[in-house]
Amino acid sequence: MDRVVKNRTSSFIDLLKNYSKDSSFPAFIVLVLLVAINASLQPTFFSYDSIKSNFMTFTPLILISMAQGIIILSGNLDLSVGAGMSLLTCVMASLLTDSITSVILVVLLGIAVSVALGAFNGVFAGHVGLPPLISTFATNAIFFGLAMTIMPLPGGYVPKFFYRWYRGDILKVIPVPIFILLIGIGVWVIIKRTAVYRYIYAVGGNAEGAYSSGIKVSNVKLMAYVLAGIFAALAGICLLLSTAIGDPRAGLSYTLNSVAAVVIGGISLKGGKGSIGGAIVGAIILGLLINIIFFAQVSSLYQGFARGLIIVISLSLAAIPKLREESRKI
Amino acid sequence: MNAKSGFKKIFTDKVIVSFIIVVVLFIIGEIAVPGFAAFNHIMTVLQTSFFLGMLSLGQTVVVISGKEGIDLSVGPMLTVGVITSSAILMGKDSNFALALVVVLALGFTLGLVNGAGISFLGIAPLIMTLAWGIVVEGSLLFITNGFPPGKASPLLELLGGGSLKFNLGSYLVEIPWVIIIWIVITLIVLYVFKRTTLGRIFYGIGTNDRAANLLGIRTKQFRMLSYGFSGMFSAFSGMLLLGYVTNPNLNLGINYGLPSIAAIVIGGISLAGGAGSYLGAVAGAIILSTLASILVTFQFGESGRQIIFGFVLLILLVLYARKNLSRDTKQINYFKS
Repeated sequence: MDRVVKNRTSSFIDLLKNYSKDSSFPAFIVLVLLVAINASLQPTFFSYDSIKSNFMTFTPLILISMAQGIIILSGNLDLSVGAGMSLLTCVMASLLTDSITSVILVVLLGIAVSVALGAFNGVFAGHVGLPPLISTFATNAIFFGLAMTIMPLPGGYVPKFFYRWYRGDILKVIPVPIFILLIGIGVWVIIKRTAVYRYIYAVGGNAEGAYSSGIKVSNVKLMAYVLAGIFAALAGICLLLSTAIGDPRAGLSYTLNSVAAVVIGGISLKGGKGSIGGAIVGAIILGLLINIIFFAQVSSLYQGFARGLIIVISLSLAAIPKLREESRKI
Repeated sequence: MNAKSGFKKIFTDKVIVSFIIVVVLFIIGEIAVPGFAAFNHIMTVLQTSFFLGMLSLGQTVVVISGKEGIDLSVGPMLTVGVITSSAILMGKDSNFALALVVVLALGFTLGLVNGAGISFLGIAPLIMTLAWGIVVEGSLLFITNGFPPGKASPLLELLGGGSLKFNLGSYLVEIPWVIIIWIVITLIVLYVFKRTTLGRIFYGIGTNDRAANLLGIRTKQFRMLSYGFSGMFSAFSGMLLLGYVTNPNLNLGINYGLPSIAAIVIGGISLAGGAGSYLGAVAGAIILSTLASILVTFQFGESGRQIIFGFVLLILLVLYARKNLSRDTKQINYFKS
């Protein structure tokens, strides 16, 4: 797999050489460039406050891209993540009250709902065997409709202490958004140590081969959607806290952005190739790009255009190593 | 395909099943709202399904050409057709021929860009067409400043929204012109796919790219061409849609991309490529439009419409969009149904 093999004698340069073969390497280069551009546009870019406010907006995208990454690695796709996030914000904002117990219960309920939505998608993609591109488009409509039923207009209630907590720090050092992101990464590290992790790669890379070696392919696909549900829940909670309102349309843009982030991060849409680290890098890239468009004061009329163009450019950059490979083959 | 008995074939042929579903939907509509299945109302529903049907035609060509081909830019391409034709026509019939040529050429060229990125840069079709669609949509906004100029001409309004009227006994029959156009195009497309070299090449590169390549077919170029056709048909659809709505609007193409894919999947075209017939996509487009029409007649709110649409789509997919899955091995990846 893509893991860099560490040798005790290998120096830093060898490590870099190994990493240059990694699927997320082009994305990493783009990331370094973007950080440089951002830093030159915004002198305070590396200050604590700026990092914190950046991560406040990046964290939902990073987490939902991790969710999308797991699903795409397993050879599937989820076009319902955005509507799922919106539904989550509506469910939670309609139930939250001022007490701490309610916050804890509602957050747990939110995670359960998100996992259930993932399982719903997973059954159709895994056990029923529908093409996920269309089946998750159908569930997207269902989730969006449910969110609209709960909350036709943005509203609900989020306790002040709860959304202020999101803007604060843990132990006065780690901003809460980064803390939640670290929880997500921690969950991924745990998943990495289980067999499910290898099964996901096996099924995404070669489902027939995986089936022949005794892996229950449909269950693994279901598992991928369920695990992604956990990350989607964290993303939904962060979205709710950053906007402090339940909104049936809040998550809509996250669907395509998450797919774009995953692809920019070097994960193959065919499944089985790439790493979740790549998805994280891809999401940060997309976030920084949106930042640049904002700081360059592009009028809102042209932001879509600029974003599309930038995605095309970064994808063309990501295509270069593939072309190099192909020319070597011939 | 092995030979099946006539009766069994009716229920296994996805195209026939799709048309049966269309009839069932109209019967449901008629039970709920008397008059839903009246001839003229059926024609009205078919008229609205034409635009989705044209987008599905482009989608069909791209999907049949294989290699995970898919075109998410059909919506923006449709808007290209709307905006370009209205800007050239400016309400005058004298510009009609010019508008038609420019719309088709522009749609074709913009589609080729998709194809070039996919065939020669190796970008995944899903992402390439999505991103290019965003660029095209943004450019239209940029060029028009949000206020598209011009309007449809009388001839285009007749073709897009008018009907051929004649008396059959005492009954006034109205057949929308778009349906006549649709039937003609469908016959041509079916002929091209079944009987010409071009059609066979599309099926060939979709079934087995490498084998086609070894036979001397320039697979990359032909796949690029399929995206050109997709852009062209989408822009053509947009031009007639302008005739239907008269005044241009930048939002007409929104929400068309995925329904056009849903239509072809319902019609039995495999997303893996190389199989299926446009006739199925026609049925799929009619099913989706009829469903939308029924949901409007039932007067559900937006939320109810979304939920029911989602569930019905899932049920349709479960019923017969999947292949005969006997084992897990058939589930390869998300493009293979």
